[in-house]
Amino acid sequence: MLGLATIAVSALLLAILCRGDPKRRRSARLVDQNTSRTARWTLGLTACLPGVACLLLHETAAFLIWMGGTGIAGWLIVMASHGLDRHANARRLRKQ
Amino acid sequence: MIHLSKNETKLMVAVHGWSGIGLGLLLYAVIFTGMVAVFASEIGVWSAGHLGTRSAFEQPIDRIVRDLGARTPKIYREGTDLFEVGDHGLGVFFHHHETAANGELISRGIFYSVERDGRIQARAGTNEEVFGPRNDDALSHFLVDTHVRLHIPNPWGLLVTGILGLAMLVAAISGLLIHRHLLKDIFTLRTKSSAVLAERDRHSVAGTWSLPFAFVLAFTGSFFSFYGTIGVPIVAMAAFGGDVQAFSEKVFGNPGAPDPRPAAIGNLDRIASDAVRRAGSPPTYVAIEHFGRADAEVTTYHNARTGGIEPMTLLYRGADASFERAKPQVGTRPSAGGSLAAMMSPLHFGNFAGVLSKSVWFSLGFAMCYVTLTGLRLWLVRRRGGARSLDWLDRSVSVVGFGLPFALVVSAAAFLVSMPLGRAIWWTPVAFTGAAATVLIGAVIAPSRIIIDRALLLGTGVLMMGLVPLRLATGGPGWAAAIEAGQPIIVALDFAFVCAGTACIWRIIGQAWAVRPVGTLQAAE
Repeated sequence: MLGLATIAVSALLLAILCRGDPKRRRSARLVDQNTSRTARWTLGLTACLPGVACLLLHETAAFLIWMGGTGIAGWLIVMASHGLDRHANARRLRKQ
Repeated sequence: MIHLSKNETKLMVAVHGWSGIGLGLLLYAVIFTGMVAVFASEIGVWSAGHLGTRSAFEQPIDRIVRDLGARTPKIYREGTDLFEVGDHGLGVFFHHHETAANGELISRGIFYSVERDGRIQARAGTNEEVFGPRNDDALSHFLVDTHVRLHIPNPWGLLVTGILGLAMLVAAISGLLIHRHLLKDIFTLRTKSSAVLAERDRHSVAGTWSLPFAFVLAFTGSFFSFYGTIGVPIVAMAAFGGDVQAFSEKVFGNPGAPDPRPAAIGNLDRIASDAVRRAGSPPTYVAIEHFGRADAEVTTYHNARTGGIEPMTLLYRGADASFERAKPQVGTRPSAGGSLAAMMSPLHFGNFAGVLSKSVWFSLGFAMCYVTLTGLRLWLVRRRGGARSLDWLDRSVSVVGFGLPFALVVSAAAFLVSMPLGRAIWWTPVAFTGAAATVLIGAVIAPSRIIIDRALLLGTGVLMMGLVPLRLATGGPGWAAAIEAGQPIIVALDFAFVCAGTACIWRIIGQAWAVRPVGTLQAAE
């Protein structure tokens, strides 16, 4: 359960990070709402805290699950946001 | 991230591309089968309809092993291995060690298979024959064998997969070096870009997120492949004059003064229950040295305790069944090297925290398959329109990329039909080979690569959805029976196959409806 909880926390922070990522927003033709550099670093480092907590608690299994699961969650978040961006762009084009 | 000069970057791109294209298809086959093999034991339970949940070592074994020992010639009591077979039955292999004509250390003896209902089957043979496939585990055995050595005879198969692991390491390191904006690009998949850039983004984003595990899985995989084929013989040659048995006894054995006086083995049930209490789980394997002698030693092997990843090994005195000590996997005293060697297995198989860790490892395997396939496609897209036609390679990528899952699903269907007839050992690989041959012929005559992809995806999807009714029709347990017996994994895998099949078919429908803009080719960097 600890492994799942840590993945969920980190995935949530990665989703926020992805949403405001300036390069992604630029490529998706989305303007404004970019997250500042400081906020990005803070979010990124905070997303690593669950893994650090697992290590401090000597929960090696949970740490490995967190590390692998967060990687997969990050990839899925990027794929999902890409799909959403494409939909948003298509809707915008239709309106124009 | 890492700044290389223009020439160094060019060199790294070439290393990355050619290491991928040279061995990429075989590497994909190894990664894909490895991804499926993460769930090999669950697939074994699902396919054979095993409903037992209590380990063989949590049931009385002392009387059985004692009786079998009494009827086995003394020469084969040098070593005795106990492990689970079938539906929590007990496998007992009384053997002695000998060196084969090719210099390989083998075990020869008598193998007893004790089913849960008490039936005993005996056969003489070597370790390779004993640990070979059975009718009820032919599918999972086939999967694991494909991953471990691609069905190439030993030691060549292991050497090939070891080299593939090294190629994966090379690709991961060179990929890390050539990607100048690893963190900046980690969330970016360009929506309006050329085919080259779209493939590049897909490849690099998936590769970046799974990069740490690409290192871990490639390294541990190579370790397993080269361990017995190169590592052990070299160390044995350097330190033991080439005597592999002496090396094995020194590094893994239990050194002590030999005492060949006859003595009955201590109570194995007492050892098993004590081992369960100390390790928190039943043994996965038990080895007895010098069965029936005063110096007998019993070693029990366990998975890691909850929360940890290092497997446990416990040592007992055989004659009186008393606990001696927790034993490191390598040597007689705990060491960093021993701990590292012990962690290789959970790190590679992801089996240290049940279904959760296995699911994560499966997903990572999927991500790596995606990276390999998109990498191959990227290499091809970059060269599209070049002087030489690479259509054959494009088709080969489709044949392996989509044909391998298709052939594996066909072999699973063949297993389900042939297992009740007692012919699964033969039909499982034959069905795989037949499906692979059909895919190859189809790929040659198909008008385009897209048609090959779609036909294989459709075939895989339909077959996956058909596996569930086929399993039930061939006598597999229903959902109620499986849940009642405490085997929800059967229901979970049924559900997973239906979902995966639906996803395959949905993807084809999506592709058919999608209006894809024709991209103009341009340089990726």
